[in-house]
Amino acid sequence: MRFFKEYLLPRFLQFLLVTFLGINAAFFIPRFFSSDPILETISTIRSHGTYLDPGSVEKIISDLKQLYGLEGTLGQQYLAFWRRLFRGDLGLSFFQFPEPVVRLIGRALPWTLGLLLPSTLLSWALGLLIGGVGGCYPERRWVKVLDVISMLVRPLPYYIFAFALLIVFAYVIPWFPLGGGLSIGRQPEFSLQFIREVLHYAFLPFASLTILGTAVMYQMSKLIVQSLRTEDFVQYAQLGGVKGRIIVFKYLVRNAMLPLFTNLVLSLGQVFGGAMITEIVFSYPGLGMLLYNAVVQADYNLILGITTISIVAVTTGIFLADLVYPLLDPRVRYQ
Amino acid sequence: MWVIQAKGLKAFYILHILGHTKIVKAVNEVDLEVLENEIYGIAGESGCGKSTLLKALLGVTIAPLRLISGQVLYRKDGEELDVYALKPEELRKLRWTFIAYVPQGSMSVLNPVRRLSRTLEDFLASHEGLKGRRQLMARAKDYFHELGLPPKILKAYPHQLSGGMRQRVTIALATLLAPKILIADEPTTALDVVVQRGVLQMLTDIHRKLANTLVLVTHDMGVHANVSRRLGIMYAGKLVEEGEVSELFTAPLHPYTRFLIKSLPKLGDKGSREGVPGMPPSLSELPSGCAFHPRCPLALPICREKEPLLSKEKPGHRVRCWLYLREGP
Amino acid sequence: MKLIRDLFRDYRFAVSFAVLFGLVSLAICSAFSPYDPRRWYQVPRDQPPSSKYVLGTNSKGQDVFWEATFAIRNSLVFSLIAASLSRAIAILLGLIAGYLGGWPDRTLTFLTDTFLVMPLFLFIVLLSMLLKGRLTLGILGVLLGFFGWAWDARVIRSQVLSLREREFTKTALLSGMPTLRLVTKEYIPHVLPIIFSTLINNMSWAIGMEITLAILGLLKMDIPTLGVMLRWAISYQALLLGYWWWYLTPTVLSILLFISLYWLSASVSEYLDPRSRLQRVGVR
Repeated sequence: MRFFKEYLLPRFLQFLLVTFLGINAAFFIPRFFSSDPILETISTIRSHGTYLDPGSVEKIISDLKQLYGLEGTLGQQYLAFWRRLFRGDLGLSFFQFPEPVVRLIGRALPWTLGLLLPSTLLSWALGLLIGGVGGCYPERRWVKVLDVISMLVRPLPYYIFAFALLIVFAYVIPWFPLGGGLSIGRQPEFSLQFIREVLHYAFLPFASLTILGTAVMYQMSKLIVQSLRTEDFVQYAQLGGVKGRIIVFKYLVRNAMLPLFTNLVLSLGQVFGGAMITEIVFSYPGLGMLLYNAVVQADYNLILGITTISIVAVTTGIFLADLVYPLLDPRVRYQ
Repeated sequence: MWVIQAKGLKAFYILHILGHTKIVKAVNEVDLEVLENEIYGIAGESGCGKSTLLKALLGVTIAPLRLISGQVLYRKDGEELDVYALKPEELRKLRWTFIAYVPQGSMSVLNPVRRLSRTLEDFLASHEGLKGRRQLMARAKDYFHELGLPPKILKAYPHQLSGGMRQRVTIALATLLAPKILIADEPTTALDVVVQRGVLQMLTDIHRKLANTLVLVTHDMGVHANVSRRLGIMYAGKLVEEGEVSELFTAPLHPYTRFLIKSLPKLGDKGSREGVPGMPPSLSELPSGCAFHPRCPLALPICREKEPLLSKEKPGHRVRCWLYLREGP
Repeated sequence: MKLIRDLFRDYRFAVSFAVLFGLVSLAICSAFSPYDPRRWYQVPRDQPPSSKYVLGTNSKGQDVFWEATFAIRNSLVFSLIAASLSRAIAILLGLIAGYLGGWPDRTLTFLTDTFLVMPLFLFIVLLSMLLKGRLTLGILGVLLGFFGWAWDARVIRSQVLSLREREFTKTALLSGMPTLRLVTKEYIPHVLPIIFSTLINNMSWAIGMEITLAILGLLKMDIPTLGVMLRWAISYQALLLGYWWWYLTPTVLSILLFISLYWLSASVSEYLDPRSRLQRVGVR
């Protein structure tokens, strides 16, 4: 009961509050800027070479107002926005009219999550293990090699690293496709060949995210373990003649898990953005690619929808991680 | 017959800060012998190098601590072992079976994410192998019971225990394999007075039962008066006086020892007690000559210039002070 | 001078210093460019590197080398704007939260954490979208500066929090030192190593974000930056047409820039304060 009141409840409230603030920001930011999405859209239509006579412009403006939820006062818009949101209605896409934004996002989200979840978990586990062992033996040759590699990879932003991989492994050495999630025209089916193709297309974006993530986690885990080594309980176990292997895994790596996990959780928003950027490089059909198309076409509803869903996805992810954390740390579990 | 012997032991912390090297002379030419089946006390103000001396005696010099010179010998089954010449694996096997350690009663000596039983297993499995694990655990439970610790606390995590209970568990853990030598570093600091008594009682009980050697480090002279048999006084990384507790307390020689004893509360004593005047010196910038001379009321001119040697004043009583050195400089 | 000598002993510092020196010299070179970076068709198009055109020319009829000098200059300038602004916000919020404690601290910490966990990339895209066409380098710098402070405010706060508990704070307060003097005289020097290393890291982040925004087509395409250069190369299909000098120039330059900035910040801050390493990666 104390666990519920002192751990779960505050985190749940924080989850609700942060989500609420984020969605509000997504609602208000466009409305506080003088730039009018309706005029923008019309100029985009014009730039596509379509001729619009004045009468149809009027019609389009009123249609767009309805489409973008810009009817009525700000207060009315705000209430309508939340009412629609609770119904799971994010409006209609303008450029893929009349496709609902929710459906477009629903189609893209599995690709993004399929890329993001395994790569995040894998890079966390790999970084924890390799960095943890590396922190115990910082003088070994392989640790020094990994240090240099991580020092080279770590500072690269998602876009540049993904682009470099694309040039090398899809263009110079054509091992992997230049982009996409599946070959064109391929229908989903349950067969070994289909799965192989999915994995083949996913490999480079996956590798890009995983390598970058692992480099970050490796450095962090190594530093954490190096500072844990001076902790009393580790030195005590050493003085007690506990075997090296037990100390490395059950004392150092096991305890490094906790701060490393917290850190992963805090950087979830960044990682999410990184995955979207990586998708754009590889034209991978997830949320990132959807965002790219929405930006190119100035599809406001779609951009707002993606932003809203992403906020909910990230905050939910953090809340779920908060639920998992007590499993790792008995001090939270048995207060 | 001694079981631990330190010869000219020097262990310094070598720190690199902003491109400068700073040397902290924490253990500086310490010679001592600890005998079989005795309680040997080490006393001194905090920051005098007591804990570092223990680390050096245990053979753990992890950077930035470094062994500069000297030897530590253990006598095991009549055989003399040079600790710093042993292979790491040989040294590891000696730990807990031959020499064990009880750390300061702090929060963090037990792995916070493991149940006590698992920690116990880690220690047991490292020394006795995994075979017969159940038997080992049964033995551990019996031992806990024998020491008056409820066996059900084995299921607990460290943060669920009180400070005193945690300290008892650490002592039980340290003595599980009946070591010949038990080294305790401020085992009662950070505990409240009532709990302190219990912990000390437990230490001496175990000492009696195992008939082993206990090295007890604490700044608390009252504890030494009650528990220790022989006592070494440390000041600024050096042993300045050593002798039987009974003699040291009745006829202390070194002016520093006199201050330490005078600062003890006595029954019926209503006068105010004095502490040692001044501050202990920084171990990285020691005063010239005798390190105690700036605080010493009896300092002679020579104290400022030359270091006194540790001389044998009487049988079994050594002191490092110019007041007692007869031969001239 | 001893400081410089000590720093050069770290290979990371030596390498990054040399590379950055080269890149900054390139940026300075832009002042002597024979071409206006905005004008097209000044040289023959699509020439591979030669003695006349060191890094070749692009499909817009521009000399890639001189274009790159402008790109580096502009990227460095706006990233400095972004990083300085976000540093100012981070220091201000971190100091206030850490020094005052109590409810201002709780409020600011909540705000910081909210900022931290948000997928900021999307907000930046949204804002750039709304500012489209008006996104000059200065405005972009301010926009990114407004988003890049959260992590560092958190770090500075925890640093100040620990400084506040130290003896000298109490001594200073008891001796009647004004709060502002205390903060500027005693706290700022302590957090300086962190501020320096985060400044550089933040520049790096801003340049990376700029590249991403440029690829999305959200920047003014007539001001050359590393991102805009890359975007032109991609939109002219330089990859497929095999004009490798065109897309490799901004890619390699930015990789060099990112790595050297990171190494510089890592080596300097480690030298100034070896214990700050854990805090720098964000573990408290």
